[in-house]
Amino acid sequence: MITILFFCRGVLCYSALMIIRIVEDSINLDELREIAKEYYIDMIKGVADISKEIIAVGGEYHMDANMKILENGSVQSDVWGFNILFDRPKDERIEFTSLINIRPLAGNRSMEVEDEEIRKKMSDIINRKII
Amino acid sequence: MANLGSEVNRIFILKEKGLLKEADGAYYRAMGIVEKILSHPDLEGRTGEIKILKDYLEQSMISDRARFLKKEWEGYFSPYANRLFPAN
Repeated sequence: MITILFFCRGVLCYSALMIIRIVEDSINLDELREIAKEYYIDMIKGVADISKEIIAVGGEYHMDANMKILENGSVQSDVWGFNILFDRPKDERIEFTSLINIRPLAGNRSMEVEDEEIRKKMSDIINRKII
Repeated sequence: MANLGSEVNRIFILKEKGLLKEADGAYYRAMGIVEKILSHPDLEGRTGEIKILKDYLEQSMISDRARFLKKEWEGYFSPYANRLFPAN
């Protein structure tokens, strides 16, 4: 059996397996790329809380960052998944695709965030947080 | 995950060709991989996403949006494949 040990310094939480960072203020692209090295190198997974206007980045699955942001006080209905692709131009670098976005009861039947208003909110938050 | 991605992609390729029995075979193999991932010790305590994946894959099999789903699943699995076979 593998035990996952979590410990946190401020809002930066580590485990034996991964780093998830909750970004309440900002994060620069170099820091983001550093976290991305743990799994995908040229991209990073993340979740955005469109109500609290914070994001969490890192982890192997969107659910990893999702769980971390919920532990931080977010509500699931406000939290949506995204990917950042570093090699794309800034206005094309966000993908609004995640399994955690499938919410038929909320009208979202696919992995993609279908509501343009939610996508706009996510973009605004993500682009403000990543400097 | 990359192996699972290959099997899921195969499901939709076979469906497009009308080979439904073979698509079912790929589906059952994919579900076998899902079960192995779910019971893997590295995932202990964080199986949430794989459970969603399993449910959505079950729904995908009975959906009539095969072309859309093929593209959607390809997008989902591409980071795992890229991680396994990086371009550089």
